[in-house]
Amino acid sequence: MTSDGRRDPPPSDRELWRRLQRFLLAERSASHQDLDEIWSQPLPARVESGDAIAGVEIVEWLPGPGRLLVRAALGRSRFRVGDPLRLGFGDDPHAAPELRLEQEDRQGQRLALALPWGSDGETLAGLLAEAGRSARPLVLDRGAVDLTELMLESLARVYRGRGALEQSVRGLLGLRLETAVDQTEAARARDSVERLAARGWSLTASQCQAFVEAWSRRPFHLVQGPPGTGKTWLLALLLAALGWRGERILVTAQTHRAVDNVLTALGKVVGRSGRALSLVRVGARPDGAAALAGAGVACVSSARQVPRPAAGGGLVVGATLFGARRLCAAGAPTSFTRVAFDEAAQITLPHAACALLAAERWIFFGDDRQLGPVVVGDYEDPLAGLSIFAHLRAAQRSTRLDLTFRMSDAVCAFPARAFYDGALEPAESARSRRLTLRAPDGAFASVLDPSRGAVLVSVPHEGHRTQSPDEARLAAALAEELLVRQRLPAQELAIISPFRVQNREIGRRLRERLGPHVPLPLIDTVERIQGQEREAVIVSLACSDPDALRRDTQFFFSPNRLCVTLTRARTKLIVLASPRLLDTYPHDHEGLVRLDLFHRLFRELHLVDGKMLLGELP
Amino acid sequence: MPSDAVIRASDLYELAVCFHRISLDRRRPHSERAVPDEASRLLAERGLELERAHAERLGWPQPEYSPPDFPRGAERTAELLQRGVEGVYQAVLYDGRFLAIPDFVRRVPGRSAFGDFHYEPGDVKAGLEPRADHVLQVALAGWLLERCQQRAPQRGFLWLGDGREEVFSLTELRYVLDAARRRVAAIVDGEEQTQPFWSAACGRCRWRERCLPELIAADDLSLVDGMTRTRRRVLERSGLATVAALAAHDPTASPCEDRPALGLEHLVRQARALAQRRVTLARPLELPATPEGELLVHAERDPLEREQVVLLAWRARCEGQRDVDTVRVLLNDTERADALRELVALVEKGALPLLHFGSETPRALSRLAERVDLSPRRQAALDDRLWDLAVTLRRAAAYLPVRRYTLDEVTAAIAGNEPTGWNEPPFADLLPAFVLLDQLRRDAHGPWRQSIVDLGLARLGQLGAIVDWIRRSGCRWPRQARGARRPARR
Repeated sequence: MTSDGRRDPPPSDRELWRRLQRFLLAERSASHQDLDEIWSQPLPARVESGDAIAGVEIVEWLPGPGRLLVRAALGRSRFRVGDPLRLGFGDDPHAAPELRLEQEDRQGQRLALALPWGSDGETLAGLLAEAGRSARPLVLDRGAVDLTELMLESLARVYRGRGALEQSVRGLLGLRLETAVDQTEAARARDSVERLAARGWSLTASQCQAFVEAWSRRPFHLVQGPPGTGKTWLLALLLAALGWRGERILVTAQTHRAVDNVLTALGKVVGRSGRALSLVRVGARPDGAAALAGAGVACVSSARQVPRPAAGGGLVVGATLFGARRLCAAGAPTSFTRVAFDEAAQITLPHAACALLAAERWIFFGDDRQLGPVVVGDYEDPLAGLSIFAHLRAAQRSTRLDLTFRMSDAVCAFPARAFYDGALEPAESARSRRLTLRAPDGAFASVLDPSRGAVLVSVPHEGHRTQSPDEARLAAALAEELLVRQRLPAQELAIISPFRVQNREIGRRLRERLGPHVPLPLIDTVERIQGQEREAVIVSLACSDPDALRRDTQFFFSPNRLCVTLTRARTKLIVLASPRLLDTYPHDHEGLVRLDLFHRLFRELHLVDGKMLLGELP
Repeated sequence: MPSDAVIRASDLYELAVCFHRISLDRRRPHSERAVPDEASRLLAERGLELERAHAERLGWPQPEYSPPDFPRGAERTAELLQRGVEGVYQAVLYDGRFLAIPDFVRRVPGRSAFGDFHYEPGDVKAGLEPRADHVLQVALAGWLLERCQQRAPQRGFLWLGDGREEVFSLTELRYVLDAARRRVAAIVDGEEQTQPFWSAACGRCRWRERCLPELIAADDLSLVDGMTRTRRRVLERSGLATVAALAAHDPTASPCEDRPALGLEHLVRQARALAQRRVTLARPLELPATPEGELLVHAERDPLEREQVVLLAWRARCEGQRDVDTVRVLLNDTERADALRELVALVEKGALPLLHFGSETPRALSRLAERVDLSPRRQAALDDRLWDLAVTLRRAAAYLPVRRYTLDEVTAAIAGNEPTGWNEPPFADLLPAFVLLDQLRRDAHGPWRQSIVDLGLARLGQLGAIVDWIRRSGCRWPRQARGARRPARR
C-alpha cells in the first residue's frame, strides 16, 4: 500500500511470468555455483563434509542397463536415495559421468547406482576401463539435476496457451480466480462422509469440513494440515471417495516419498474397503516399489502404460511433478478430472505449473507453517521461492485441520499458540499422553519429568556458531538416559540440530557412551525428519554468538524450521539452548519478528538450569 | 530525571547498530563527536524532507513546547490525543524514563481511555525497506502510547522513501522490545559496561575519531576479520587480548574442547596475516579462463532514488590491446537502458567474463536488467558471466593483512600499504556515487559529473590491481568458468 492509502496493483500475467522465469534461471545459476563451491574444495574436505565418498569399489553390474553395485565406507556421506552423483577420480567432477543413487545399504556399505534415463553409458564405460588399467581409486561426488528447462517450458505453456485451461491456470497463479461451492457435490460429499463413518472411518469436524470443501469447491480448495492432524490419511480418503465416483485424479508432490506415502495410504483404504479402484504409480523408485505393490498400487514406468479405466470407472495416478508433466503433455492417453497436490507448501509456483495443466480442478494439501520449498539462492523478490500453497492461501479461503493426533497437550501448547493462532488442539487420544519412565529419579529427573512435556534447558555458553560441546555432552547424556535406563527404543527418539557438525559431535559422544553395537536414534537436521514423529525429541540449537546470528537470521530463526522441530515429539520435547542467542539484533523487521518467537520459546517452555546438569556429568 | 538517564527511541536504534554509542553519547562531551559524513548527512536530510512533505500533506497539529521540556511536550500531546484529533505530528510520549517522539501518530478505531478510538505510531524513513532499528523505535512509541491511552496499539507503520506504507504488528515484537528496553536501561545505568568494537558501521560513526584510534592503539581483537564480540570476550578470558597475542598463539598446542567451536584456527591465521603483514594462501587462486579477454565491472545504486543504478563502469581488457574504460553516469531510464545494452552487447560478442568485487555490483546489474526489462534468459546469461573476486579470495582460503575484506582494504593490502591511521582507508573511502549525484543534481555545472566518472575509474583501477595481483601470485583456471557471484561468507 502507498502512504496515501492507495493499494499496489497485482502483477500482470506478463510480469508474473517474467518474475518466475528470472527466479528459475537465477536458481539454476545459484545451484551451479553451490556445486562449483563444493567441487572446488580438496577431496579430503569434500569427504569430510559428506559431499563425496572416496575409495569406491565396483562390486558388480546389476540387471538393467547402466546399473552398478558399489562398495565404499559411507561414513559421513550425506547422499540420499535419488540424489544425482558423479563417479570419477575426484580430480574433475565436471567431466565425470552422472549416475543416480537408487538404493543404499548403510550396514553393508553398498550403493546401487544407475545411469540417468537417456544416457549412453560410454563415458561410464570409459571411466571404468581407465580405473581398471590404472588402478586409480574411484570417487563418488555430489552432482545435480537441472530441470530448469522443463519448468520454463511448463510456464511457457501456461502463459502462451490460448485455451480455457491455460487461461484458468493463469488466473489461479494471478490470484484472480473466484471459488464457489457446488451444492450438489457438497451434498454428495456429506453422504460420502456418512458412508465412510459407517465403515469405521470417522472424521473430526474440521476433517469433515475439509473433505466436503475440497470435494465441492470449484475450481480449487486449500486444506491446511498442521502436524499430526491426519492430512495424508484424509487426502487418501478423499481420493478414494472421488475415485469410487468415477473421477480420474492425478496426485502429485515434489518428492517420490510424498507421492508414495499418499498412494500407500490410499491403497490401504481401498484394500480395507473391499471396493475396487485402479491405483497406478508412474515412475516409482526401486526403494518405494515394494511398499506400493504391497498396498495394491500398480507401478509403471511411463505415462503410456497408464491403463485406461473402464467406462465410468475411477482411477488415481500418482507421479512426481516432473512425471506429472509428461502425463499432461499433449496427446497423453489419460485425461484427469482433478489434480491433487500433496505437501503443496513445498512446491514453488514454477514447479506447480508442471502439473496444473493436467486438469481443470485442483486440490492443495499442505501447511505453510512447516518447511517451505528448498531454494538455494537469496532473492529480493518475495515471489521467488514462494510455495503455491502460501501464494494461494494469502488470497483464498482454506480449511485448517485443528486436532492433532500426535502431540500431547503439553507438547502441543507452544506450537499451537505460536504458529496456529491457538487453533490447534490435541485429540482426546493424544491429550493426556505422557512419557513412561521406568526409573523416575536420577540426575535428569527435572528434565524428564513426564508432567512437563516441553522443557527448555538453558545451557550457558557463548561464542559458538555451529557447534556447542556442552550441548553435545548434555544431549548425549540425556539420550543415553532415555535409551538405557528408561529403555526407550532407539526408533522412538530423535535428536535434531540445525548444524550437521553438531549432529556429528552428538553422534560421536553417544556412540562413545553406548558402545559400538547399540543402535543409535536418528540424529539429523530438521529437513530429514519432516513428516516423521517420535515419542521423545531432543533439540540442540548450538549457537551462542549474537554477531554471527545477526548475519544468519533467515536460517537459524526460521519459524518454519522451528515449527517442524517443535512438533515431532509425542510426549517429550527437550530443547537445549544458550540464552545468549537472544542477544542478537537482526537487520530487518522480519528478523525481529523471528527473534521475538525465540524469546517466547524461552519464556513459555518450562525452564531448567543446564549449568547444574552439566556439573553432574562425568 | 537527569537528561542522560532518559532513554530515547534513538537509543534502541543504536542497540541494533552499535550499543557502545549509547554509553559514549552519555559519558563523553559532544564536542568529541565527528561531523556527519556527506552520505549520512544526505540520508538524514532526505528523511527530513520526506517527513515535512507528509506533515504538510496531512496538516496534523504538533504539540507546543520547548525542548527539552519533554514533560510539557507530553502534556500537550495528551491534550491533543484526548481531543481526538485525526493525528499528531511529532507527538511527545514520555513516562519519566522512556521518551519517544514518533513522526506521526494517527487515530484508528478501537476503544481506549480516550473514547472509541486510539492511536498507533509511525515514522517516515528515506530507505526502502523496514530496518530493525526503525521498527524498534516505532515499537517503543507504541509501548509508551499504551501507557497513555490504556490500550496497546496493535500496529505501527513506516512511510518509506518510495511512498510505500509498511504496516507491521507490534504484538509480534513485544518480547524483543522488552529485552531491548532492559538492555538499553542496563547500559544507561552503567550496569552493563560497553566497549568499542570495529565494525562496518565505524567508518561513518560520530564517535569514529575517538573509538578507532583507541582500538588501533590497543591492537584490539575486533580488528581481526571474523571476530565477534563474544569471541573476543572468550579469547580475552583465555589470556589472548590483542591481535599480536592471537597471532602468536598456536591453536593446536593447547587442546581445548571449545577450539573448533570457536573457529580458532581461522581467527589465528587472520590475526597472523594482519600482525605480520603477509599473505597466505591455502589453495591456488582461481580466475576464469579468458582467451579473448575480460571485463572488470563496477556498479552502484542510489538508496535515495529507490535503489536505481546510477553508476555503471567497465574496463575491457583484451590480449594485445589497450584497456578501454567506459563510465556511465545514469540519470534516467533511457541512459540506464542504453548503458546496459552496451555492456550486454560486449559480453555476448566475446563471451567475456565480468570480474567484480562483492555483492553490490550483481545486485545493481539485476536491478538494472529488471528495470529495462531485459529478457530473463539474457539476464541469466549475464549473471553467469559474473565472477566475484571476493569469492576467489575466500575459496583460496586467502588471508590478507586487512581488517575487513572490502575492496578498499584488499587493494591497499596487496599494494603493501599499511592501514596505520584512522584517516587511512577505509575511512578515507571514495564518496559513494549517490552522494556525488546529489551534488550534481543541485549543481549541474559543477565538477560533480567528472567526480562520478573519476570514482568509476578509481574502482576499475582497484579491480584491475586485484586481478593483476592474482595473476602474479600464480593462479589456476578451473575447468568451467562458471560465475562465482555470491558474496563471500566466512
